[in-house]
Amino acid sequence: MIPGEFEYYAPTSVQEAVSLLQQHGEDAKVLAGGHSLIPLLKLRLASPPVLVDIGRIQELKGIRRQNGAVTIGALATHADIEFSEDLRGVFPLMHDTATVIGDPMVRNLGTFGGALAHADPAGDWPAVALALNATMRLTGPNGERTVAADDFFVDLLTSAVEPGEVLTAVEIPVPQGKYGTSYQKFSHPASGYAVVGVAALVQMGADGACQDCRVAITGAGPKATRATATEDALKGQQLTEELIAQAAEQAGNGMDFLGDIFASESYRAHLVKVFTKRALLGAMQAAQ
Amino acid sequence: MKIDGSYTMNGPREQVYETLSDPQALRGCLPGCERFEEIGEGRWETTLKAGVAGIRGEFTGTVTLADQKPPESYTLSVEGNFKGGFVKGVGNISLEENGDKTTVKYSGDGQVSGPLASVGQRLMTPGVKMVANQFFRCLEGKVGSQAPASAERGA
Repeated sequence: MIPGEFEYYAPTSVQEAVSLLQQHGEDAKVLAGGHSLIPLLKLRLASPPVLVDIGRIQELKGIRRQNGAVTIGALATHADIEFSEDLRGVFPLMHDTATVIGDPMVRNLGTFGGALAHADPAGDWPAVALALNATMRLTGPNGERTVAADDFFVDLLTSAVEPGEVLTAVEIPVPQGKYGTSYQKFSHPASGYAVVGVAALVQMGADGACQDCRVAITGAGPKATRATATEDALKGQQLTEELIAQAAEQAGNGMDFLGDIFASESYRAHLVKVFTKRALLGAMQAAQ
Repeated sequence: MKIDGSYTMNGPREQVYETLSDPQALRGCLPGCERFEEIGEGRWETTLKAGVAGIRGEFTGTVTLADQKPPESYTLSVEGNFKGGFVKGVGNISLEENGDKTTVKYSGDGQVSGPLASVGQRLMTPGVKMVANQFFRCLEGKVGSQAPASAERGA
């Protein structure tokens, strides 16, 4: 349980971090809260020769609400999100999601940006980021760029963060009018990871119909994925429990399900439908 | 650990089979291949640096192609060591005609020991699938490039 040797750098600005990453190329790995990376290092499943610890970069911290959007610094911890009154007011699901991540120790140190960049197939935040239509802000050697959540989760443990880039912040637009959100998770009883987790956002129009909705699934496949068939079945409709139940049956269509000793592929496919229905019902109730 | 999957690639079955059993193509497409030396009929010794995202390790061992039934199927066995563990697996690769494309089906059974097996179990099956997809995507790119060789043989 002792990691291999590595060089350690603790930059104090994003620019410094980027130049260190550029200097060390593929040898370098970014360390944020360390709650995914450190266990891998201790088990020697990963042994990057260089660690760039971004934990001391002040500009990556904090949660701000401005101009109809919420900006969450990449270094905001799960606990920062859990206890942010600002965030709880606009997106109750962020509080609810934070409380079902790991345990208090993990939540006090693990970071929002780290969890997103790591793109664990059973992570909770990727589903939330997709459902809330978040935009990721990245800084690299060529300056800043933004990536929509829809393009951010590329594959198993693979996000759109290129070598040499740092995820700096996540911007989430606050919808206009009446809307509701919900995150429903079936936790693995031992690890706490999502066997299946579903995040939903429902926006109501002035006529009371569903103006827009976004549903995203985590835990079930190699990466977090939106349930677009379910979304399409609800847009423009007057939502009822029956309609949501019908639409939820299409969740996970065309998905490549994971199967393991704990939950088979067909069990996960079933859970996706059940939890999609629960998340949508929760979001609909919150919107009314 | 059981792995099943398929990959559909452009190209007629004969050409795809040829690429999939061509040592040069395999060498170029095995992830992080640093060494690929023939040690017998259909047997190679190899060193690979493979992995998913930050979880990487060096694998040293043998790759064996057997039961070759062109252009339908062959078996691929892998046996060797990586840091802190041992891996052994046998897979059956079969090719099916699918219009002008070819569907490559793979199904295998493997044993993995070490820390990867005990704590990485959750990520291992999807990890192997991801690497397999990269492998076949790379091979697909080589299917066309071998057309001259097969044409020569036909002449």
